[in-house]
Order: sequence, then structure tokens, then C-alpha cells
Amino acid sequence: MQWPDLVPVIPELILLVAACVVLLVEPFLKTEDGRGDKTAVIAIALTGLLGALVVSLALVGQDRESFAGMLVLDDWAVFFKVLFAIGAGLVILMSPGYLEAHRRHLGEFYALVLLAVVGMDLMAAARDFILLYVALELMAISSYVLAAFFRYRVRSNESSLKYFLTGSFASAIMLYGISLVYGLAGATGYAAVGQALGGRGGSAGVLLAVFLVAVGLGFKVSAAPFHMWTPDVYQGAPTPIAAFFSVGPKTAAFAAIMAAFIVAFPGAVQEWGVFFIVLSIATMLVGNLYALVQTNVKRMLAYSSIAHAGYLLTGVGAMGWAGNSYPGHGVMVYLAAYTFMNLGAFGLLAYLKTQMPHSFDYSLKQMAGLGRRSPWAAVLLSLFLLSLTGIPGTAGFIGKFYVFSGVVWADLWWLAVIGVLLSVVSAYYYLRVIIYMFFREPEEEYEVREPISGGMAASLAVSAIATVVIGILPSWLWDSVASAFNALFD
Amino acid sequence: MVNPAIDLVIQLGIMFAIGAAMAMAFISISHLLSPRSTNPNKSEPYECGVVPKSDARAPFNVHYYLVAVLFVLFDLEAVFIYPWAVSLRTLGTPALAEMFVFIAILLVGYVYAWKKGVFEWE
Repeated sequence: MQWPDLVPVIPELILLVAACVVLLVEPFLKTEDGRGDKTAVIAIALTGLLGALVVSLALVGQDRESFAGMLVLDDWAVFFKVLFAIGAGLVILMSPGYLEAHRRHLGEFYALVLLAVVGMDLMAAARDFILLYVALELMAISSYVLAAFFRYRVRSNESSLKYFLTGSFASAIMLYGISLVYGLAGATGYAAVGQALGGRGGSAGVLLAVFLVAVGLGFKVSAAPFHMWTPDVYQGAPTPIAAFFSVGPKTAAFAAIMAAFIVAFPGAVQEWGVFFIVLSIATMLVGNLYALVQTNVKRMLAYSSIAHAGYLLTGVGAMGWAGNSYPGHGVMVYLAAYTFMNLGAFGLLAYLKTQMPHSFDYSLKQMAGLGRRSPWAAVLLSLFLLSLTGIPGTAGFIGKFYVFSGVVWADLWWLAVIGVLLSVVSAYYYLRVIIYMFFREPEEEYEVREPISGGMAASLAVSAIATVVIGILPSWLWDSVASAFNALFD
Repeated sequence: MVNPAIDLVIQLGIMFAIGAAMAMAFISISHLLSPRSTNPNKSEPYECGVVPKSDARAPFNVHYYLVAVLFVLFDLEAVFIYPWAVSLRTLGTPALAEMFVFIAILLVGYVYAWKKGVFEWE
């Protein structure tokens, strides 16, 4: 046995050590009132994420593989590692005030977020179905616990249980698909599977295996008809965690789909392309139409995240349909844009809940008068919602533009038309919140706690700046996406 | 000559049919031939010969679950160590180092559980 090359996993090792240190430090923190001062664990967690971010950026341009080719370090993996580290950092920054307001500020929270990020990083870096599965489970198990973090609340418990049951069901389906892949190809590495299956992609056994793996990952990205868990899980989970779920695991699952399917199932590209196209149409329809009738903003954002998964899936389907990785470029740009705008939108809900821990229930009518009560919050939320709608000048527009132009490039212009029409529909439910905030009188006065915590402000500011910067200057993002794809497919 | 794959299916089918027939036969024969005795004690749950006292679904102290979960964790640790010990000579030094990492991670959990008071019984 050789010593493994550990350079490709340095960011993950840093995160793992940080998580362990958090777990070791947490029980020793005690103050007089018995609740403990969590500044130390927050500092450790943020240092770990910052370390992982800096090391990942330093590893740009490398091309290595390790652990017998199970995982690689290339620009593709680095892109997602950076994205996950930033996303998790924003979530951790917005959490302390929120958890404090609910009197449940425990250090384990940060350790679990870090461990989930390790899983997500490995999902993006994996080039082997076994490692993909293990990484997915690491991410998922941390997520189940995070969903139940307010364990004395029925809704939080319900959220976790639903996530656990549907998630483990999806994992089992995916594992069954992987075992079929192994039975047919005699290998689990993406490239080896692709070589072994080669041209006989169209056979029934291969199609069944591809279908099962796609369904398992479809659950994770909450593609309709596997989306049922999403609204309940997001609504019941603590808001910063709902923010984390809506961007982290989803992005990781998209990274895995794009890295695995083109390389491992080249003989069945048309078939899985059509499968994802059908999923994308169903997902866009379900997400947008259900979001129209929601009166709870948090639940509306959950359905909107389903709709966004639908837009992203059009790009994935186009990759398969054209048998080319080019439409994936847009998907990756969209994933980066989506991370910031969605974290910002959920983060503002977390902020409002922190302001009014007892009275705020995320309902639409409580958004009335926000424009006068806290103008900054209302302006920022408007920015994020406009970006989610896809108004030019924001990150959301850039993401949609690149995804749909990739779809058109693959000669699926009708699919792009469906996507654009449904984005127009989505304007109704996003703009409705803005109208409530600025043009409706509040029905009652609320007791508001100020001021905003520094971490929350920083998290929202970074999300807002990134949303605007990606919206105005997208070329650097496009360049890094292009180099990531070159690393993956050359 | 039958196609070998179809031949295999036929053989498997015959085996399944015989297996199912035997299972059904045993159950129906014992149902038809066995002596019957009706005694109210027969319908009571069997608890090692002792007369049952109360419902089995009694609430337990949640502490038992924590200890049980930790037991499973550390039990599995031993399960992983056995095959490692058997093949350590062929795997060499990297495997030795990896086992130390594995145990160190478990130790983190152990210290955490200890400080959280999982092992304290009041």
C-alpha cells in the first residue's frame, strides 16, 4: 500500500480538524448562566472555512488524483470547494443571532455544518461512485441532524424525519443503481465505467442503472416528482439551515450529476438527456405553480428553490441531448449566482425572525410595512427577489441567460421558451412580496429587537455585493467555469 | 438443445417451485395433523416462563438510548479493527497510520460524549 497523496484533500482535512476541535472545545465552554459563550467555536469554524477557502484558491490550476483515482484535484473540484466554503461561511455568519434568539445556541451546529461541507466537497471531487455515495451520506446525515436542531419543536422534528426518510430512500435507490453499474461494468470509477460500457449504453440493464442513479440524485436536487419533502423540510428547519439546504446539497448533487453522467454513461447520453429534460419541465411547472399560491414566504422560497432546480436541470438535460458538456457551463454559472441570491433571501428571513423571535411567522402579511420599519432590510430583500426573478443587472439574470443560451445551443429552443415563460410567472410571487413590503400598511405594530448583529450584516452584505457583481461583471465567473470544464473533460 | 440462459431460468424456476411447494406442504400437514389443546395461557406472551406483569411498551430513560448508540459505535470500531489487524502486514505503514487517525476521530467523539455527561447515572 502506497502513502496516499493528501494534497487534493487538504481543504477537507482542514475542515475536518476544525469540526473535531469545535466538538472538543464546545463541552468546555461554560459561563455563570450555564449557557456558554460560543464566540470561540464560531471563530474556530470560520477559521477552518477560511483556511479551506484560501488553500482551495492556492490549488487552482493543479491536476492530481489520489486514493487510486477515486478523487481528483482539478479546477472543477476547486470551483465547488470555493463555492461551498463561501456558502457555509455565509450561513455560519447569519446563524449566531438567530440561534441566540431561539435560546438554542449550541456549538455542535458549527461542527455539523463543517462536516456537511466536507461531504459536499468530496461529492464534487469524487470520480468514483463509491466515494460519491459515501460523501453524499456524510453530507446527508449531517443535514438530518441540522434539520432537527430545534428538537423541542414539532415542526423541526417533522422536518428532520421527512428529510431522513425520503433521503435514505433516495440513497438506497441510488445505491441499487450503483450496484447495477458495478455488475454491468465491473468497475466503479466514472472513467472505467464509461470505458467498460462504451457503446452498449442503450441496453435495458444500463438504462435501468442510469435511471436509478439519476432518481437518487434527483431527490437531492428536489426535482419533481421527487420534490415532496422540500417545502416541509425547509419550513420546519431553522432558517439559516434551510438556506444551507437550498444551496449546498443541491449544488453538490448538480456537481455530481454533471461530473458522473457524461463520463460514465456516454453510450446513453440521449436517454438520460431526455430523462432530465422531462424532469426539468415537471420541476419548473410544479415549483412555479405551487409557489404562486403560498402565503408563507419561507414556504414560497422553498417552492422557488424547486423551480430553480428545474431551470438548472434544463441545462443538464441539454448536456445529455447534445452529448456535449457545453450547456453545463451555464449550469455552473447559475449555481454560483443561485448560491448568493438564495442565501441572501433566506438570510433576510433569518434576520427578520431574529428581530421578532416571538411574533414573526414568515407570513406574507407580516411583510407589510417592512419598507418603512427597516428600509435596508426591505431594499436588500427586494434585490435578492429581483435577482431570483432574473431581472437584468443581477446575478439571477446572468445565470438564466447562460443556462438558457446553452439550452438553445443544444437545439432545444422550445425548452428554453418554457423556462423563460415560467420565469415570467415567477415574477408574480417574487414581486408580490416587494409590493407587500413597500405598498401595504401593516395590520399591527410589531415589537422589534435591534440592532442587527455584525455577522448577519456581513453575511447579507457579501450576498448582496456578490449578487450585483456577478450581475454586472460575469466574465470572470464564466472564465473560471470554462477552465473548470476544461479540467473535467480533457 | 435449449438456449443455456433459458435452461438456467427453467432450472431456477423448478427449484423455486419445489421450495414453495415444500414450505406450503409442511405448514398444511402440521396444521392438519397436530393435536390441539385450548388453554387461555397459550395466548399470553411468553416471557421465559415468568407470568407477564405489564405492557412491554413502557417508557425508558432516554439515557439507555445514548449508551446503546455509543455501544454500537465502539462495537463497530472493533469490527473494523479485526480485518485491519489480519491484513496489516501486507498493507504496511500507511495502514497503521490510518488506523491511528480512525481511532483519534473516535476518541474525539468519546471525549465529547464524556464531557456531555452521557456516562453519568443519577
